[in-house]
Amino acid sequence: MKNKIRVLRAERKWSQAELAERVSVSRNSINSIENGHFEPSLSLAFAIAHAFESKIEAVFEWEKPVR
Amino acid sequence: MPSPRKSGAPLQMALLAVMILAPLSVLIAIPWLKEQPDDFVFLYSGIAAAVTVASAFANSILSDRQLDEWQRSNARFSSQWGWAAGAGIVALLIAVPPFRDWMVATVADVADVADVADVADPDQQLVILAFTFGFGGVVLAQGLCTVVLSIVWTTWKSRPARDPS
Repeated sequence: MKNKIRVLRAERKWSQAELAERVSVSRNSINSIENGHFEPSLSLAFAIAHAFESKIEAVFEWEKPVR
Repeated sequence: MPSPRKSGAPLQMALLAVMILAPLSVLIAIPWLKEQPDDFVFLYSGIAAAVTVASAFANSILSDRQLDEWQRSNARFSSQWGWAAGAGIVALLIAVPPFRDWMVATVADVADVADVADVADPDQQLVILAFTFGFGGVVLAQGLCTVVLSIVWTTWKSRPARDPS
């Protein structure tokens, strides 16, 4: 799953820690999600999109898993 | 919604202190316990073990409440594989002669048994201590492996992006 968290954060000049604080998770969570190494639950994805005041599809893009 | 991050730090620190002090009290009291009746020793160490397990259980529940989903994934991975690895490592170590000799000598020393080779009539204290030490060794190895795997998982998940966007 691709995401635009890094870009959206940069636009708002938010650090990973600041976004983590806004969605009540650890900074490690945001770092791993942002780098594509951890897929958030649907509720966390919505919470992140809500923090950016965006729709979920504007933040996350689903990719078909490669088998 | 993401997990709320509740703070239970003072209670957790108190429980951690109990987890350390209860078994420590048994270790410190070993010279004195050797002079006490067996029933008292079993009762004392049993209570200490029950208190340790209960406080560890309560602490784990409090800790789990504060975890987010990334941390829960870490805990699930590291405990699942750490427990298996820890048990496996102890089983392998028992097969290594120097470790086995050290283990037998340590148990014999604590049990105050001069001849540990008397298989036909084993000392009851020695057998119980051997089981206790074996169980303790497995738990310790599992704990260490879980910590190591948790660090590995954290490092792996925190690596730079494959395709920075």
